[in-house]
Amino acid sequence: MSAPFLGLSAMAVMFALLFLRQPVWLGLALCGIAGNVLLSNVNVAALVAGTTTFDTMSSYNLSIVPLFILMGEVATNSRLSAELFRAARVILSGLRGGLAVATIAASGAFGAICGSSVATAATMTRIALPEMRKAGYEDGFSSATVASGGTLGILIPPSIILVIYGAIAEASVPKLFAASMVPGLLLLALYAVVALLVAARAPGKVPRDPPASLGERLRSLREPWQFVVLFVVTIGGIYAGIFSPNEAASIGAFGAIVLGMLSRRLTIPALLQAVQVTVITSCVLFMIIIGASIFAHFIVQTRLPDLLLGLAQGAGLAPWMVMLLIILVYLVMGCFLEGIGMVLITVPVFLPIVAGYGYDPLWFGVVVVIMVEVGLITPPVGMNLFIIQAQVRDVPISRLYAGIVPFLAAPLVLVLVLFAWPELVLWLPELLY
Amino acid sequence: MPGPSRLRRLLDWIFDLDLRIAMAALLAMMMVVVADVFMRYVFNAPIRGSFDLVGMCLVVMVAFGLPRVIADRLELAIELIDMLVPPPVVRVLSMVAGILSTLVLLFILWAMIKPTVSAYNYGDRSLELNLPVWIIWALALAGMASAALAALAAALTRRTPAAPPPGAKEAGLE
Repeated sequence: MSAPFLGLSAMAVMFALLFLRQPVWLGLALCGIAGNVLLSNVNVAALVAGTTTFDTMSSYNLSIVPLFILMGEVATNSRLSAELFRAARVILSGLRGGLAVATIAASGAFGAICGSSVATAATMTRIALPEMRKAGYEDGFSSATVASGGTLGILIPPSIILVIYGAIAEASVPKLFAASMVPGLLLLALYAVVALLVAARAPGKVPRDPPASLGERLRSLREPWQFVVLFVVTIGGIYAGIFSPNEAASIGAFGAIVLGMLSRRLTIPALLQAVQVTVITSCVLFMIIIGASIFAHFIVQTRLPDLLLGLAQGAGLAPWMVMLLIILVYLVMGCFLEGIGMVLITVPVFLPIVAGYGYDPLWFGVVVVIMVEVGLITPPVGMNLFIIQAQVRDVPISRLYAGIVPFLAAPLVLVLVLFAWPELVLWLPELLY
Repeated sequence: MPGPSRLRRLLDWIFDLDLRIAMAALLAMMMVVVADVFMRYVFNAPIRGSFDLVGMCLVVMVAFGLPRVIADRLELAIELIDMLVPPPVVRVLSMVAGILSTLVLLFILWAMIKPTVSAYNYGDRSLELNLPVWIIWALALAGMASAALAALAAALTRRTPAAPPPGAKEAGLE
């Protein structure tokens, strides 16, 4: 059996294992270890498994992951997201669909201090969804607004997925954070446009909020000052070159704890709970990263990416055709796989192909994250949809599926825009670094 | 020889202790970096060895956090098949996952012994603090051994996935 064919077979077995409900880390690690044994021998497989596990566990670069998760957890427990939502709601009052746009804006803002999409969606479900339902918004539309707004958590920096992408692609995390900022804001705007369009087309689904006075609007801007402090110190600190990403994540987590304690919103038990959830979430992630690193080592040894690149070039495919195929693969996979696994499985295979066709790894990283976002809200297994449905049991999942359809257009339009103007991604990193 | 329930309680105690060690390591990691930044910007005297300490804390956090994750079956899995097959099949698949997890973790544990011994024999030292590297490997080994034990316990018990700690599901992986 040739090495590339062995690589393809291992991928097929791995997908079968995932379908058979085996944990994602297990499917990746098992196929990686078995593949290395078949391709080389047990000693090589052991060397790869042992050193990869230790290197991942002790990676200074990956220490950003738990620290940013901790910052998001503490911010959630300190109810910072509630302040953001209240401010956005008052500012956008009087607009038909304003509450939905406020939800999206608050999600985007919360995403700027929390690198997790699911955490953003879960938080906003508790804060914004009851308000929208109380205001008479249709259930499917309001749930879909929260689900799509939640995806901004992984595109607007800090983003855990971008940190992991950076580790696989050996790309600079500060540059990735800079690259994703403009697309993140664009996506926020696109989601808002979709919400306003739905509101305009079906006014019965979306009532109008009574408008607030100018004074109220200005006063509401003061409320989320803690968020502003955290964002400026962490992400601003990275952009300004004052902090490394690791330092920014630590300062951000520590700052969130101090602010929460000072405002008496964060109790010691709540802090301990945040730390516990952070450890558990991080360990789930690290297991997947360890499995994926073992698997990626095997895939690289099979030279499968080189074979696929050669095939694509031999077939005379234009670069945009190759990217289109890759995006289609992400679309299909996103319907069934969760995001981190999808990134870890595909990037080692796709990145050499994409780079071979001259695309910038930073640009590709942002496109991959957008495709993960699509997966998060694509039926049947869009994680954000399930997170919301788990919290509002009286809204049938079918209504969520129907509500999410118009929002799916936003990230896909954004990918087209980034194809046409890649400088939207590359401009800020080039300016800053 | 302790009975099954006493054994279960003993294992839970071990995994809870592991989790507390992991939580302490996370807080320590954060504080080391904060102190380093503070000392650097305020006194122009960064903490020597902060790079090593962060790496070490991360090893402890991951290695000692794994047992609780595995014991409570909090790993990420695609549960699409649950809608397609009856519950006994799901239980079998869950047991298979436990057995395979045990085997893979034992393989990784075995694979980590040789580098640990090498680090001890060659006297490898960390870059900044000049600490013996084998100690960090040994910490990782201890956590992985506990994780393998957790996988075995999860495979042998017919427990369905435990309720995660509050907020764990929503903490989110994406």
